[in-house]
Amino acid sequence: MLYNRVIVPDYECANILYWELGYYGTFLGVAKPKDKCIRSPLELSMLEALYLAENGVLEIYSGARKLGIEEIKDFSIKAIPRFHKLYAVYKDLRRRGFIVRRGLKFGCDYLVYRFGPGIDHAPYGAHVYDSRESIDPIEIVRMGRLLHSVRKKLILAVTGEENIRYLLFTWWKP
Amino acid sequence: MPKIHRIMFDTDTCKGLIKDNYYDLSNKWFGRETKEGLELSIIETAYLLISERAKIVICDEEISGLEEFMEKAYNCLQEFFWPSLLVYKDLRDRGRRTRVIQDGEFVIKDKHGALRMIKVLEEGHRITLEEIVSSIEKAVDNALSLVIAVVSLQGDITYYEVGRVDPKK
Repeated sequence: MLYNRVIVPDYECANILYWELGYYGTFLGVAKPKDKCIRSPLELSMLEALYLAENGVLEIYSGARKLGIEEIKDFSIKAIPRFHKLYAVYKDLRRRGFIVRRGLKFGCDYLVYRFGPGIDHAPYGAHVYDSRESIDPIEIVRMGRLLHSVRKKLILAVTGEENIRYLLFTWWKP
Repeated sequence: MPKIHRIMFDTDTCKGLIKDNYYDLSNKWFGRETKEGLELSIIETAYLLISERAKIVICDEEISGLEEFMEKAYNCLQEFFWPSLLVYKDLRDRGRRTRVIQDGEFVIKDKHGALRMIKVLEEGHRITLEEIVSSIEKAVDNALSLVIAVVSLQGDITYYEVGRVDPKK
């Protein structure tokens, strides 16, 4: 772990995490990975790293010290302001079998793929809210218009005490 | 030439009333039929006025146009009046039958004949996600699908159909 992210310096492990386990992380300096033996370290977000660690796929070290799951979680809560709801939705979508990647370029939290980047275009952009949170309706228009321009649909993932509700927004012409 | 109706507008109840010969309007989903005649909401009244299909009478005095109507019925103009009127006019001008349910909420028959609930939202008027979920549930309980109409502060309208989904790969 390097401050607020996790680096996978071993190229072989990096390629396995990306290509075989479900497109986790981002290769340093590789915008669109194509070659399956990329010689570059992989950067994982804390959300990705925690998910992989919880699933027993990844061991995370701070220097030479191995970190426990609770330690990583506590650190993530401090480092990521919206951690609880972001992680709940990340985990839920991954468990449903989707490939979940960062959505910043498209103005949302996540891009949700059925098969993965380079294979299909992400059909959805998802943004995460808590059910008690309020939203300026124009934010929906901003996100919706940007996603619509790249043929994606907007999903708002609404976290509550017990479950996550997904609301699909489809541009409509009267 | 379309028929010009005469609407008696009551500034206490904020409702309009057409006493007779209103079937061309009621057939197109305007108003609610009562013993006294066809009762119209302020949105419907304003729409009929600006589309020059009605003259409005307030306290036995015929008013000259929208400016005078807004002046005399000022107490009836809620904060949501204008965005609601924009959406109502947009839908009506597109030929959609539109029924006013309450302030900022309509039921329309879309171009394919399906019924939809329209909820008007305005830029700057924050809404909780729970309220959006409740609106979806209300629409579904009435066998309708929900469309939100977001009105910007420049008067642009963007429509989104909204529904709950259970994402499956």
